[in-house]
Amino acid sequence: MRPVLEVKNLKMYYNTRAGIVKAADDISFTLAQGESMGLVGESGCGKTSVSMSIMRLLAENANIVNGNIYFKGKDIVKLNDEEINKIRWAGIAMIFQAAMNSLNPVYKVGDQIIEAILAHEPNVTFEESRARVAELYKLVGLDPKRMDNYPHEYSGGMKQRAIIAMSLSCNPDIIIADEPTTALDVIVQDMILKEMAKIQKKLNMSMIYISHDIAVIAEVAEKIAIMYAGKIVELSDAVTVFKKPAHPYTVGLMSSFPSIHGEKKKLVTIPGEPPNLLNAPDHCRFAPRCPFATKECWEKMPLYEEISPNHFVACFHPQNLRKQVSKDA
Amino acid sequence: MPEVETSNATDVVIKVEHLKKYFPVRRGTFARAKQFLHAVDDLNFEVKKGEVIALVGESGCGKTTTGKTLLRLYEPTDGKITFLNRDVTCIHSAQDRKWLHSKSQMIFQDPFESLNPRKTIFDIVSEPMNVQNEGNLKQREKKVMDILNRVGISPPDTFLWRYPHELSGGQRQRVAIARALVMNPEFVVADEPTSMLDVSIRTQVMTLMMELIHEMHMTFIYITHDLAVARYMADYISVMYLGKMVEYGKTEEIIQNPLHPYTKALISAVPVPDPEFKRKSIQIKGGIGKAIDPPKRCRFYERCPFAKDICAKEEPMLIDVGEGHKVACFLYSKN
Amino acid sequence: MKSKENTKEVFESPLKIRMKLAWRAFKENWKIFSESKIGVLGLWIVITFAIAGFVVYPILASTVWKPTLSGMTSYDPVTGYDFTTMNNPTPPSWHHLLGTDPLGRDVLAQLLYSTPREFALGILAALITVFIGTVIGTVSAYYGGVVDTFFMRLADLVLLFPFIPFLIVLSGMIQIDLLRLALIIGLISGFGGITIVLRSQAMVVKVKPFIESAKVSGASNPYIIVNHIIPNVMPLSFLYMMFNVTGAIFSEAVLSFFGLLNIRMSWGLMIYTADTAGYIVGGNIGHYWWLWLPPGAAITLLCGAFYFIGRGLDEVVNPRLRRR
Repeated sequence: MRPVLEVKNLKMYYNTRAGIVKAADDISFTLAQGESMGLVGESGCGKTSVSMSIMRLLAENANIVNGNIYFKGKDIVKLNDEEINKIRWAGIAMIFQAAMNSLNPVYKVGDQIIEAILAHEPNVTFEESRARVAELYKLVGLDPKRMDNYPHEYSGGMKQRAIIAMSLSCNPDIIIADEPTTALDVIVQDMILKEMAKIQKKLNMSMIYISHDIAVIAEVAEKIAIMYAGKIVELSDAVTVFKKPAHPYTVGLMSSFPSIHGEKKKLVTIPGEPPNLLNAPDHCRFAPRCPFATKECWEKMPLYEEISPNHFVACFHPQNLRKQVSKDA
Repeated sequence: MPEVETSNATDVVIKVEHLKKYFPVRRGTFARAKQFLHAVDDLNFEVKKGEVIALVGESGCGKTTTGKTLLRLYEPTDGKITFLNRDVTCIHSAQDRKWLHSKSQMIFQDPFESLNPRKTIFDIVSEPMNVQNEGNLKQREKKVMDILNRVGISPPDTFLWRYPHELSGGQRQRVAIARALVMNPEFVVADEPTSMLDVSIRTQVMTLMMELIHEMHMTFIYITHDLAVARYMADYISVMYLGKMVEYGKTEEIIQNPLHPYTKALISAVPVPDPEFKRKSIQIKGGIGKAIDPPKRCRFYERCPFAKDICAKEEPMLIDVGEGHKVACFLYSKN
Repeated sequence: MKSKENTKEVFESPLKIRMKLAWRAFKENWKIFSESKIGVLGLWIVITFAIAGFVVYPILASTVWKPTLSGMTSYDPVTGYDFTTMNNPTPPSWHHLLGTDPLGRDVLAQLLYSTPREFALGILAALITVFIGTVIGTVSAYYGGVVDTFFMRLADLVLLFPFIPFLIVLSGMIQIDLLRLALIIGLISGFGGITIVLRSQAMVVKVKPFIESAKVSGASNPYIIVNHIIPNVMPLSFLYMMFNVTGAIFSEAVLSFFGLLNIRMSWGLMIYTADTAGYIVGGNIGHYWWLWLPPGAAITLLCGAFYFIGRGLDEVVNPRLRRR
């Protein structure tokens, strides 16, 4: 099946006064129609930079230095502003971090969604778009009567649902959700995640979830990419990543996550702190924190390779590692 | 009727009886507040020396208000707080206040906001000693170095004269912990100390705190919205809902055998980092509201899938259902 | 062990370390300030005026402009009269670079003589303003309640207060000299707008967790105000000080122009003298330009310069305005 989105060797750098920040360095992945993918990483690892590159919503000092982003065969990197505007919302929609706070408090929520539709589809009449918003409200589990309410009359979960409705308003092929549930309470988060997964299945959309919370990603994503310091270090289907993690960082993340189910396991900590991406080194960026690092890791950058079918890892010692882990256990 | 049995033992560090904290709800500029938000409503518990209690609940359940009221950042509306066998509900003299604050401390949620950006690390960590007039400069310096070393800021002398913005989030939270512990407090309230940190840093800070709690034999109240974190940190878990304590018990007992429908829902909603794990979920309705002059009934009534008639008429009391596991729900009352 | 040794070194003189920190902070802020062209321009103008007033004038007064042997003080800014010139005011010449005024006094000497006084007035008034504003603003923000209401209503009253008419009446009752004027301006603007601005900034600081953190450590309210709130509103105070210098110099010029002040010489007074003698009327304006242009330009430039410095500082104080 032809992938709906293909990112190839994407490099997005920020030029700052202090030097070059390699926010996204050699990122490659594909996303098929109807597939949901999770992008996991700590703050500052470049996951938001990747999504901003896909949307071409780049800050003034940000450049796509290298690489291609193919959306339905068209290279987003090379499109001009007018063409990219057509793709935004209608092709790829985005739910921004803390988007629920971005609703304008002085306009009715329904009108804000209608405005988004009319801005992108000038042929649609007001009545048609209103009907469409009512449909969307039903889809995301909101009462269409609430369209004429103002944002302050919505609870946090309802606002987030409205934002999801807004992102669906132009029938996009892909939705990128950047930390869609971070500001929400556990119970509401659970409801929203279920709703999003349901809608995605129903509309056969592609979805990219971005989160720092590996448990949230495990709930919704079929495919998971683990990012560390501007690079994807491991990418595979969810089960492989969780059951047979190959990169030491992934292993560390899994075992440092406190779990509520099953036996209470001892928490394993990853020593040190994520590196500064400013003038990042040319060797493996995880080497300073890695318990398995060898001389090689401090000298070269490991290649991003397919170690088994559909399992990509950027590490010199993925095999070694598996033995060591089983020894520890 | 006391809901928590009174123990005579002197090892009770803090004891709370019928604690209430109401906030006036503003109605217009000139009108006097006629409505009150019941942020904490009739709370009873005690913490013994060396115990860690987690206050768990969603935002707006009153867990932070409880913590701040215990440390007297807020004046309690009603009730009694006994700290180290002294009544600290009403503090009148500056001396009493200094005594209380030399024995108790707080760790805040946001390490970016809880350190004054215009002070150096040395100023920040030594401030409690400064305020309490403890030791001379040399002694303070030594203590600051020791505690920084202990919390993993090393080598400490390279950090002393830096400003908070030069430190990473994890380091700042370590500094905040050092500041809280520099006076060897008996009792510490930690308000979501790890929720703003990254996963890998969070585990480091959690492990550090656990070590320090055991080492310094401190009494801890750990406020969190994350049951999984509470499971790792606490000996006891107390689940709060709209200002009320709905369930209390030993950590593993609460996690493995939750009784209150709200606790059940909360536990079932925690995402599991395992794609093959299928959670059994309990559907509860709507989101958390606000306890503004709540009617006299179970506060979970509107959302509870198991609500009975009595739940709408009376408020459930926190009752012991065996081995110190307490729950405030009519499903478990004997009559 | 090694770190122990370092410790002792570090602690030999905490004062020295603090000096170093302050110097480093100054350098960092200077770097940001120096990128704002308008701020640097303002600074240069102020420096030029300062040199002219504090260095050039004393030198000239004691060398070239010193009283002549016959006791003629032809260059004294207040009492001087040049008997060699006829028909005062005379246009600029080699003897009098900016000409003489209707009373035969040298315009350049008057201009330079007034400069240090303008500085003193502006800076003193601004210091008083900022001191009062910072104290009242932080105190009323921190304590709230009655204190807050009282000072805020007072600020409203002061803001609505007819400043110039008040001074006109006051000048009829007491002699307003430079020092008194600085005090009056300082007091009135100190209780006015600046209090409201600094109070709102203090409100922002007041709710930060580090204030609660200090309270939990047992810090008293005065301690918190002095050690936590004031240092965090100080940059803004400093910024407003610059704008207040402008305001004070400007008020002085206006009042002098109306002849309401009892001062020896000032830029405003220079224009007043020319005006009352009828030289700034109709066609005379263009003809006797040296009577009003130098003091007018000096007022505009110095006021503008302090304002420009304020604009430059604005970028230091509000990081959001900074360009990356």
